[in-house]
Amino acid sequence: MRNDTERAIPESGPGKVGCPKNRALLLSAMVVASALAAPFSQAQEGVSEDYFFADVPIVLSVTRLQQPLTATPASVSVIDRKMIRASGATSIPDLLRHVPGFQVAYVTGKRAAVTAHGRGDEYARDMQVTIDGRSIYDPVFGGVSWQDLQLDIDSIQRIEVVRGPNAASHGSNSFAGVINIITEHPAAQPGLLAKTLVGEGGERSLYGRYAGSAGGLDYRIAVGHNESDGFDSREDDESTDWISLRGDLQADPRNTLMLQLGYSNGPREEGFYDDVLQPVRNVDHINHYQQLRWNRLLSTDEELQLQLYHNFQRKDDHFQVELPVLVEGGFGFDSHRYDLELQYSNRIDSGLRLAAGVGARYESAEGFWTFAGERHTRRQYRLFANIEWELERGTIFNLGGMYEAYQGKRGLFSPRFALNHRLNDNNTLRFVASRAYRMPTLWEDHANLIAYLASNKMPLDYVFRSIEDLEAEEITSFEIGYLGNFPQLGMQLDARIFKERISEIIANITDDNILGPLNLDPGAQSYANNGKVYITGLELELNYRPVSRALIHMGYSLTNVYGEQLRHIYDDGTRRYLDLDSSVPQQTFSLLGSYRFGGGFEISSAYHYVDPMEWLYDGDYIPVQKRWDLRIAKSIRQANSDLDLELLFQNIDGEDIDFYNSPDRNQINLSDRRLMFRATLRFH
Amino acid sequence: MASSSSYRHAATASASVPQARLSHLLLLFALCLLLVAIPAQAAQKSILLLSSGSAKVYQRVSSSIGASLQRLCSSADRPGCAEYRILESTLDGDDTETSTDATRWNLVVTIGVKAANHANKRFPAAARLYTLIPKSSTADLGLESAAGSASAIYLDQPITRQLNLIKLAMAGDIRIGALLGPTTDHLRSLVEMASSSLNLTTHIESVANDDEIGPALRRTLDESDILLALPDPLIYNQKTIFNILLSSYHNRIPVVGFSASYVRAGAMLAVYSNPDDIGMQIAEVVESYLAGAEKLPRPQFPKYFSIEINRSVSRSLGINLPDERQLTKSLKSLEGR
Repeated sequence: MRNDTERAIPESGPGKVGCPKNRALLLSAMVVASALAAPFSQAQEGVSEDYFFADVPIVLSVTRLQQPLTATPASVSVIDRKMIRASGATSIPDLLRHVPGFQVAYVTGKRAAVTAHGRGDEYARDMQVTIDGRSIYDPVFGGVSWQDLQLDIDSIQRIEVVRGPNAASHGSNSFAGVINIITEHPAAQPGLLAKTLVGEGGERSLYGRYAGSAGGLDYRIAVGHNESDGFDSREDDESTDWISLRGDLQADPRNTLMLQLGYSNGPREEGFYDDVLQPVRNVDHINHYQQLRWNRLLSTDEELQLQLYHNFQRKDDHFQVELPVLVEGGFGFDSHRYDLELQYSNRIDSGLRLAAGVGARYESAEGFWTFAGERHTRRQYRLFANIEWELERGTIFNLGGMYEAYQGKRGLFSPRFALNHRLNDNNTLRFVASRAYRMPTLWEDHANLIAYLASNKMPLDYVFRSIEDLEAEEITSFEIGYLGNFPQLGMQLDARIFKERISEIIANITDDNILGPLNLDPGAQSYANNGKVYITGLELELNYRPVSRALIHMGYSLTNVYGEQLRHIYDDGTRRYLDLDSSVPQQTFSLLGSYRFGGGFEISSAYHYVDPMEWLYDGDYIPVQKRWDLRIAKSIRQANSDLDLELLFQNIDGEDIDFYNSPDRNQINLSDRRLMFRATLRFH
Repeated sequence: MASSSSYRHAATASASVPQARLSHLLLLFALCLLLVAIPAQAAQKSILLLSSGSAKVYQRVSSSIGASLQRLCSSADRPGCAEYRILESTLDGDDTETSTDATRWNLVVTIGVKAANHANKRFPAAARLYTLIPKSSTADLGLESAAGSASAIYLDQPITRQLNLIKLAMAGDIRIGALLGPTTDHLRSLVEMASSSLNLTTHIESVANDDEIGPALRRTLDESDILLALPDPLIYNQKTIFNILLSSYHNRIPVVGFSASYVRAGAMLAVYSNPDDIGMQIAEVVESYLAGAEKLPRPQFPKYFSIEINRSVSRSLGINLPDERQLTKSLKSLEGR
């Protein structure tokens, strides 16, 4: 009954015969489907028309789409898969050397500090770093514990580096920049992959992953083991084991869920002989995280995202030193971060886009060694909105701001204003003004590191002790940028000149007026808001891919710095300031080139140059650093697998000094030539 | 336009009120008897419009045919228009017996694959025009052997049109990537020839099973500037589309889709024929048949088409595309229209 819907097309035109004008000629529609009982429809193997009209779930939703570089309110460096592969990098910090204005140091063989515009120490704290929207910024010491990540560069889809403050969208600590690491969607890497790397310096690593799908669920499970002897000149062997899991569920065309879990642990050798504060010792790290994200498409242009995550970090780090009594101390702690955020994105019309949301964060840290057994917590609530508004064709305003309310601190408002003006299809100018803050870390706020008598844990002396109510460090930045986009040539050029003013610097000071419990050795290290620095500079980035087989990337930065920060308060009240002029290298330069020949051969080479710079606190003045890497690769395609073989020559041009440069104290990091071999087998 | 909306209205009303439906049927049956009883005029042609189902897409095609025929026939120099009647019927897959005489139709126009297969068996004596049918599904319909009495208006777009569109949309030397599966593999040489005649280079991978899609896609994305998606269910389906659209986007390779929903999902653009486009073309063929053409024209690709652009995607990829109207116009003029 249902199938014989009958409608008729009215006869039309002049002089119709048979039926009255304009009246539908109705006929019974019993023509239908008897013959369908015959089996010919099963024999049919061609495509049905339904295939052309079927609905397809929206894959590139508002939140998945990147803002085009011509519209971004900042200079953004994108390190994509091609660049990752060409670079031959074996770690994320090595990739970040390609970003103009960035400096990378290895404090131990694998413990990296990544900073933008210098002013870094072993915990370079000036950048927010996220993996798939989860902040991995260490709430206790700041910076990122790169060696603890449960992630291989193989699973990185791209890294977006926002140069300059970006707190309006990423919150405080997005100070000198933001590094967003986006991992591959499991659906994009189906199958099994195994990778091994062996090399000089005791480099041994194994990595395996499997990505598959079941129903609407795409998942990936990855495991890794990394081992290294570190610098030849140091006791810094380490190894890490990790596992991670990602599941993406397309619950229905409108709802997707993402779950990520990860765990890593491993021992790391740290310290130096004859250093009472940093003796040679083994430090154990345990890290894990859980992340859940729900995206709901409200329409093609409207999306809601709810995200919850938790990070856990444990450093088990304490040691004993003969002074001549046996004294005990350490830097170990446990920390948690819980973060909940709701974001609403809407492409209101072709010229107006909005992303806004609310979030809450809870961080805690406790440790016998670092906080004298106390537990410190911090709550944050935030509200943010960013609007991209194309006022007229080619003129785009980006207005954004985030307000953060912190427990026990004054509220922070981080605004940003940007104007992008497209001169023509190829050339865009950009003007940006922004402000951002860096919250003191829990350690800077609450450091209470005491040297104990080992036998009965009696407090002997304060080593680090925070006594001030610290405020956030503040940066105000202005920039004029230019983006040249020449798709016909495969070329993109980004240039910017900027001026940054950083004030209320949270300085690591020695305060001789802090008296210890026994008054054995007056003075302790502490933290104070005291210092100002002005940085002006120029950054250039060139991406040139004339054909898909060739890649050239160039980065250059030129900076001029002046400023100082408090370093020492003597017992008579006099103060010594630390000159910051040399904490930023004047020029840095990086060049990466790669070409894929026929027959699966590929040769690529990277060169990095960094002018002399001073790494602060524990670090030293480091002379010019030059590093030249070469990679020779061969891809072998087989019926059911692809095999990639790579020879990696790191630092061909010979020895460089990294981070520590005090030969008199026997504290020096010498990075030597390294030859490595990497094999990647991917089963289809 | 007015007539098409009134059909929809009638259909909805009858579906929702079963009692009314029954009385309608009785009335229809009576009318039917009446019509059979009155001898048809000698010149009058009977056309059966047979849809594969009652889905909206079929309804749109048939109302487009109605509207277009009405428009065509309203011009004075179309004498054939006066001499026909059309019956619309729907095939929904139930095995309801039909009481209609199979031999009374001069022309059977089918909409969709199911209706085509049905008509091929049931109405061998009538002229048959298969429409809304992918070319790959016409193999068993004997279009070659029954040329003149059987023809088709395909649903797929001609390769050259898609390549022209790519040329219009993208600047510079473009390398076109394509993944071909069992349904589309025979198009390889056609794609290569058409591309080279337009000074485009290609990277084409053949895929025989779904395990091969991942690696073939990776290689294609490495070697191409744009991915041309040709309708092949092994390659482009609900399971794979996520990977394909996401990986292409991440490699900054735009995808040319084959339907509007692919564009909504994340392809950058598509040329496709919607039901209205197809309906218009059917009406033209039917009109020329009515006007005395003894034979049906050769099977043809869609003449009318629409272009859909995902502006969010093109913008994000930094590709400046002309607007849809401009592209349609340029594409038509390239096709000599």
